[in-house]
Amino acid sequence: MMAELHSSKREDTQVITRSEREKCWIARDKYFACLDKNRIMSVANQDSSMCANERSDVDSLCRQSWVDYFIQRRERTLQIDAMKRFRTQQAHDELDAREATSREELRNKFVKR
Amino acid sequence: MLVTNKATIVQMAGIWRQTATLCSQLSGRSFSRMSTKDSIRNASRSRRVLFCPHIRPFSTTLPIFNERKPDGKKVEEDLDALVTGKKRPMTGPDLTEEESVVFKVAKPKRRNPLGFFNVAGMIIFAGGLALLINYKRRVQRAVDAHKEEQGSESFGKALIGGPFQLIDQNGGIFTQESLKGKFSLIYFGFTLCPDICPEELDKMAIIVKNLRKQGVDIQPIFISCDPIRDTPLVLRKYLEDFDIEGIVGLTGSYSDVEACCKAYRVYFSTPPDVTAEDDYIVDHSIFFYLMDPEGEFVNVFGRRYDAQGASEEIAKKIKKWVPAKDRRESSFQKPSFWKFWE
Repeated sequence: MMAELHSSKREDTQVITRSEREKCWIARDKYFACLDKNRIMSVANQDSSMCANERSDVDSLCRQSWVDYFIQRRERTLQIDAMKRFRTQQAHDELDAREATSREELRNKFVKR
Repeated sequence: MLVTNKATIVQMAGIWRQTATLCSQLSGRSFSRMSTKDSIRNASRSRRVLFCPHIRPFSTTLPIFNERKPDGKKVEEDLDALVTGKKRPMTGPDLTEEESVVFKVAKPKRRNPLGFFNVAGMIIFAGGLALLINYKRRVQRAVDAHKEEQGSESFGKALIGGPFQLIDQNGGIFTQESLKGKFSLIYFGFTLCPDICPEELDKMAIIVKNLRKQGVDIQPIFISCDPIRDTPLVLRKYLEDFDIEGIVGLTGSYSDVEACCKAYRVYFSTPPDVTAEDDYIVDHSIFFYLMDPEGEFVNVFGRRYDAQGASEEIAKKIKKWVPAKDRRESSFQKPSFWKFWE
């Protein structure tokens, strides 16, 4: 009961094998390492001069939808991590401030004025 | 008894004489009255004192006082007191036969060091207490185990699963009836997945291998959320890459796949109007579904389970599983108070 919707020409080319996938991943990792080195978080806003070689490798070895997906996912993860770091730093600053005020109050209590 | 006071020695001598008088009363024989010297000698000998001069500083020990005849009533009283143990007699090494008899008879009862209690009673009490504590501990353990069992049982069945009709990678029809007879592990994905589906399928390979090593027959199933691009042939080629023996790849028409995903509460983002040439990523929920030999849902495993953790959990669930007709409410078994070894 093969569906007639699917054309037989497409079937063989659509399958991506394990080795092809791994080649794509290696190129992606190299590209991302280059971006990390140059401290680029958002690729869309940058000009394409940075890490151009790596990017061309990725584009050739991976499907376009995959490339976009990988880049988007990386950006999202970096944003979340940055937000987490910011929030923890905020929390620490708040705790320090609170501790300082309580210390000040204690000191004022015992100092003769 | 340490005696170093001369006065005390002399007093003791007086008491010796009185005891001797008593003995003479008892035995009916009259002894020669012990001289003062003898008395003092006795006292000093029994008390191990080095020297003892003939000095009587206290008037109570003068012979005039001790020579009076003892009245019968006082003798009787003293004797009673000695025998019942109310009065403690003098003990010493130089006792005559009569005196030693009196002293043996009149020896007072040793006071029980435990006083009010006795050893047997204490042992029984301690034993009873230990039994009680052990019982309480066993009851607590039984309650915890029962609660854990109750907690892990699904409270009411989760509405996951249901009828579906799909095509496997060889073109055959696969429905929920085909799930019956053995446990199944279902994963929803698509073949053009960048990295997550391959990773999850590798995890599935390890899980299935682990379970088969333990003798559990489990059927791995891969259902495509992307029916437009994933034809049976595509599925067959895709699944060859993964070392999972007997894996079934399912696809079908868009409506059939949509119905199956709805039954399993799987979210997927493929719109119905795409064509096979389009390049898109399918966003979908990432779960393994464990189904039992009756085709019913057992448990779901998300991304927080790694291969080992998932295989252990699945093995546990399979071990605990009973068919629906044999299932009944697990009742709490109260442990017996006496059988402390259970």
